[in-house]
Amino acid sequence: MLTLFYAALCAYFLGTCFSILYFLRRSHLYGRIYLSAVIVGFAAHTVLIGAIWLATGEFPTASHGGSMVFFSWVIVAVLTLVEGRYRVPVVGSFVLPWAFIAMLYAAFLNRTPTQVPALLRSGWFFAHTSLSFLSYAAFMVAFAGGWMYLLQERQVRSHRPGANFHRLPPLDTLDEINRWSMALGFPLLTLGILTGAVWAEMAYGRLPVDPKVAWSVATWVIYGALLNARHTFGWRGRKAAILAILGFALVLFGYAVINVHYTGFHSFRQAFHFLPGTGGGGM
Amino acid sequence: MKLQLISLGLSHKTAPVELRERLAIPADQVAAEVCRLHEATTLPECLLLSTCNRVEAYAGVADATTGLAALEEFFTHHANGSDVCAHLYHHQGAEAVDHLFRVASSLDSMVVGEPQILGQLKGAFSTAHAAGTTGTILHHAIERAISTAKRVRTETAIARSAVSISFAAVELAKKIFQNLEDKTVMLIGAGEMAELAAQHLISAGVGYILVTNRTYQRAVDLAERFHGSAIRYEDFKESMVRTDIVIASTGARDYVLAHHDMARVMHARRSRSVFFIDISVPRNLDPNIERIDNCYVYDIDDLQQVVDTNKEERLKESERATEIIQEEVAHFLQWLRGRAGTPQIIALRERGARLCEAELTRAIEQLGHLTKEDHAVISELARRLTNKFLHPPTTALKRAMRDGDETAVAILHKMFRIS
Repeated sequence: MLTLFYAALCAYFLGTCFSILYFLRRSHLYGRIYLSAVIVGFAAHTVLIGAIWLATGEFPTASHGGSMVFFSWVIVAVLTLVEGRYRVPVVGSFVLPWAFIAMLYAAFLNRTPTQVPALLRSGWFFAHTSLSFLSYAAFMVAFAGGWMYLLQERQVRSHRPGANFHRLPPLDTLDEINRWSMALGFPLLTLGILTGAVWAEMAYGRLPVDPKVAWSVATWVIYGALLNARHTFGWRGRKAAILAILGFALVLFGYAVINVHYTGFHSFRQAFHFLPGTGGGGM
Repeated sequence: MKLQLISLGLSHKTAPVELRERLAIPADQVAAEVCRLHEATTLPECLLLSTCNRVEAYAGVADATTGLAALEEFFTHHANGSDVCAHLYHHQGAEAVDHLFRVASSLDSMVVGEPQILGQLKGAFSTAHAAGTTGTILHHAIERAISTAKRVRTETAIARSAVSISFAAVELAKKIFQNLEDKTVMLIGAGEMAELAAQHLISAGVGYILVTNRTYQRAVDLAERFHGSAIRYEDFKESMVRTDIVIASTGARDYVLAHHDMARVMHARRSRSVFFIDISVPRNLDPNIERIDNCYVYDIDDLQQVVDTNKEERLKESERATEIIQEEVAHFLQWLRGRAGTPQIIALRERGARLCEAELTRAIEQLGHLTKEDHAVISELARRLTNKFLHPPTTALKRAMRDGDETAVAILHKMFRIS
């Protein structure tokens, strides 16, 4: 399992380096190396997640490290979808480094899922955590799209297009990536929140209110409003890009501050503290 | 015979356009001229390259000085009395190869990085080849020049960015829109540059073209040429909703499209991007339009600025291209030197074979009564011995020739009495 973990980590490191080189030099050779590294890394990564699941009987998101491994995996999965759809490897230069960082972070965390209490162990746990992580990965790609959009827009508006102008894809493509990943992320987030609610209802007979739940609902409202604004008022381009960046900042804040530092259902520190036989936690 | 490459000619760098156009050879006469050059100069291999920016001759010769003199005479004669000598440049050996590779890679062009020259060079070679005036040296030189040019093109960014205003407009459009096929261009007014920009956009795949003009008939004529539709000038603002690229070029003294007009249009378009190209002076489009989200306005100065930046970029890239060329020139010269050794090597081996046969005949005559098998064994022995003995000097000579090691070559010549 350790071998698989390091194989994926190394492949992503290589992929990250070559995605950045590809961005800087625009050489097709670098682009091909980057894509190959992603494919190899993703294959190892997929086997790794299956192995953790089989070996421990718990879905990897039951530990802090495992959740990072899974988050990294969904980032690469969404990236692969975007690459297949839009054929712009440059997106990888802005997304893959995060998948690599998530894996690197996981290297320092406990990746073996501690036992989840029987009461919580159900298909809902799997559905809730995997859907939520998938939506975060989609929002991360939307964030990268928005970031690239602002960079490219600055190039076009400057009237003095420089190197980045040639490196980055057209504005319309970037806006389209932004729209697509949000349109993917929002329903996933909705389902993630709903499955979480159903799961809690079934496990505890009540809807829990902790900071993470409140924060997630706030994030949901913001992404929903943004999608609606695009649909009804034609909020696209710059406005959509800025909102995608802000939206992802909220997601990141929600994770970094609440999951890691606060206590409650979602905390990795005091997970399931109100139940006998405490174990790990989810995001 | 040791051949080398020479070149002589004039280009935009050395001669004014009046002289260049007088010397330029029309495409249908190049074949005849290159034959005339071949006959008049009795050069073993020659080639004529004539474009609007250069007229030059390349030749493979044994003696550079007489070769260049012959070419110069041909040019003086060709110039028909005008004084061309002061405008001619001439190169020989490594310099000539370097010049040819630079020309092919478009480093010597007026617009550095322009792609036409390579095609022109290929054309000049095939004309000369068909006329029978080329040989191994020119063949190999042109082949290497073409692959050098391709290397320069793929390994440097020399030809990547647009260096004319109308191409700069296309390049910008391609960085705003994902694809141009479903986009509509509106041409407001007419003018050479605006029409050229429209033409380039159509070549780049733009889907549809609308033309408007104060004189409706003019709009109809232009629309017909571009296979688009004409719109009455009074109504063009209504069609703005379906227009993605605007090329404005009218003689109007003030703005034909104001900020508030466009704000309304953008609302109706649900903020889909619009790219404005304002080629008119004074400007026809309110520069404030750019303040609207997803509207991008480029006037003639902006486009010129893009072109200037790209040109600077190309000059920077030409340094990297020069390195590639130096590498390729070295390869070519190595090939040429290795090739120059071929006749000597043949001479050496022939001498060996002759001695071997002579000694073998004498020995067999003396032995007289050999069986067929014995005869074969003795012949094989003599040939193998000769070949084994000649192998080291042959490879040493080849290596010395390739590396240009004159001393080693001289020693080997002396030792093996190669003439």
